[in-house]
Amino acid sequence: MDTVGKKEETASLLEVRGVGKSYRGRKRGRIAAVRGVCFSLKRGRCLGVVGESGCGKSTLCRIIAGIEKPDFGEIRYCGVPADYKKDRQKIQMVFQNSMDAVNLHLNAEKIISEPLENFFSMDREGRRREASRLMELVGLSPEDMGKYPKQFSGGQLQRICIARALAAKPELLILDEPLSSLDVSVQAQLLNLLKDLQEQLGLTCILVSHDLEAVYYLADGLAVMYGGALVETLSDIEALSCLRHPYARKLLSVCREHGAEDFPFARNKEHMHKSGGFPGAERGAEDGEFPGIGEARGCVYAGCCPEADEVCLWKTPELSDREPGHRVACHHV
Amino acid sequence: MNGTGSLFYTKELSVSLKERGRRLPVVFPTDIAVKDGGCTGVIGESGCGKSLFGRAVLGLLTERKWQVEGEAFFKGERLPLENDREMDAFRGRRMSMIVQDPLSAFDPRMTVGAHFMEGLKRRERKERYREAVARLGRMLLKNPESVMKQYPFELSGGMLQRVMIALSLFAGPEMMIADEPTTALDSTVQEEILQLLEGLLGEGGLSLLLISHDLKVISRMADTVYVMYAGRIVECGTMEEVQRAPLHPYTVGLFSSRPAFSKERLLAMEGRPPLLEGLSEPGCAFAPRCPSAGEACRKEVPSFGAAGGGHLVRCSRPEAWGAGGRGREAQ
Repeated sequence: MDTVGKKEETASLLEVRGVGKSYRGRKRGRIAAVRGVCFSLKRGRCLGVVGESGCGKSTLCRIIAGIEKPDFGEIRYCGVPADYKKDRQKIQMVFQNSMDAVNLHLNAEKIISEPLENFFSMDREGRRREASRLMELVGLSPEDMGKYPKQFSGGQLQRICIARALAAKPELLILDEPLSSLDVSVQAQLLNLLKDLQEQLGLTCILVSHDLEAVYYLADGLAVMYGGALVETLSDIEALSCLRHPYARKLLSVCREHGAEDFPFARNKEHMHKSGGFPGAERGAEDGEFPGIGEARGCVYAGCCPEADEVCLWKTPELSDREPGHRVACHHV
Repeated sequence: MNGTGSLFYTKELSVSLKERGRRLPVVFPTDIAVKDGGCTGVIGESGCGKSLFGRAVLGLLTERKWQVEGEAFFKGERLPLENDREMDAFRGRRMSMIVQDPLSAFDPRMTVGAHFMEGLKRRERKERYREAVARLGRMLLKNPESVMKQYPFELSGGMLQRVMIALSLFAGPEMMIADEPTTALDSTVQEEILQLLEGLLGEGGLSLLLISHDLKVISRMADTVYVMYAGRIVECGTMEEVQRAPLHPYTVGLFSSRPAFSKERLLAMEGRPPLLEGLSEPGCAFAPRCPSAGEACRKEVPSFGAAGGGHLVRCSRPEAWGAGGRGREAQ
């Protein structure tokens, strides 16, 4: 797998082309969860997706993993449209709440060997050997294989979920908030584990999180989502301070609260403090959903944006290149 | 830390769990002080007893299950922790509480407005309604009147947290206990709630006991910090001092295990906190995870040692870590 990885390094492993998905709303109409998301991911890279809850990051993950069908758009895997009967094994996912993601009546060995059974038709002895190897790989003792999910702590169970995903020998690993609801010290252990696994196995990853610092630690590229759309993408996460979209800057300034002095957009913070909060943020919050959702026109962030004007209200900004590897969807940058 | 003279302080307050005739200590005798108009932070990981401590000082733990010993003082008055009815004079009126999960703190069958009106006579309602709307407005909720008519599940987490703060401030308490007030919220909403609390601290004349596992939240809000591990305070001091020179290996580990916009490998602490049953074992609870633990650490629980300037640390070998500590924040 490694040599193949090197040969195809320039080709995109995953391409997401204009994917959209909407759900039926509470009263009438449909609520767009994901609207026209486009990006591509090269082999061996790790993309971090950040955004607040309800912005569609999890739905996007589920679409890529083939759990949900998109209403429109297409997922291309290795250059051809993804066929989830065939590619299911290669695209694996780790979920946020590990307790809900496993069958509580199966022990760790059975949980990990389920994909082995499904994809590789291994015999029982082989499965056991492989499962104990995977347990060790994720830093658990193989002696604990007979234990049930309730006997593990949250961090340990998340390790088991990672082992299960790795059992299928995936090429693309989707991590949907793998760290939230864990303790700080456990988070650090898992972050280190994921980093090691990435290097050892040459995995391509999509890491979804609301924790920008954790994303920075693991990911190579960054995508910022708001209201179901990508508002900014960066191919090099270390160039974080050149984020331009107002929402991305706000997110960054919040995370960087302490070291904010050395960043050019720190002045933007005064602006926020003056009005006693983020301008317009309440409107978004009060509707209980993102402003403008369900409307096809306008920028998704217009309702909360301090720089919004009339153009933003009727014209949807395209995600366009500003610099090589840096795309922003905003009329005003 | 010596608490006399503070707005609120506890004296050897401990909590233990009553189970099958046994008594398992969960929080060991703890002294914590909150200054008038100040914010005291308690930081620790889940299961270290920090939330339990917060509930204990309000007398919220059921007697059937928990045993609370020791004393707590509020404005020089001893809190009647053992008497539920007498505590009512303090609870909500002079000391209030906000909790982590706002949705579970509300009655799902009542509108937000009904929560404000609870137990009022009909003729008092109009007055209260007006007051509640005004207060919600002060919490920067845009449309307080419609919020009053909504049910808790219709509001977002950030809005509910604002409503909860408004509710808990209604009787004009002097101190608020905030138990992980921002944990369930998005980082941008988190920021808004923290700004709100900051405002209350400054102008509102409120004192805050802030319980959190989030270092960022604590270091932003608190002036004094207590680090809790396995039911004991292991380090305390002013936020500045602790952040500049953390002394206890656990505090150092806590600081260095947070990624801070760097790709450098995290210095993660190995292992995990002891389970409830293991808390009463002899020796320093952190010794199994401590990189510099010696023989002595496994034998007896170290007592508090002063490191100057009110900075206390419960470690028998603080010198092993050097004055600067190894925390990234310290650099």
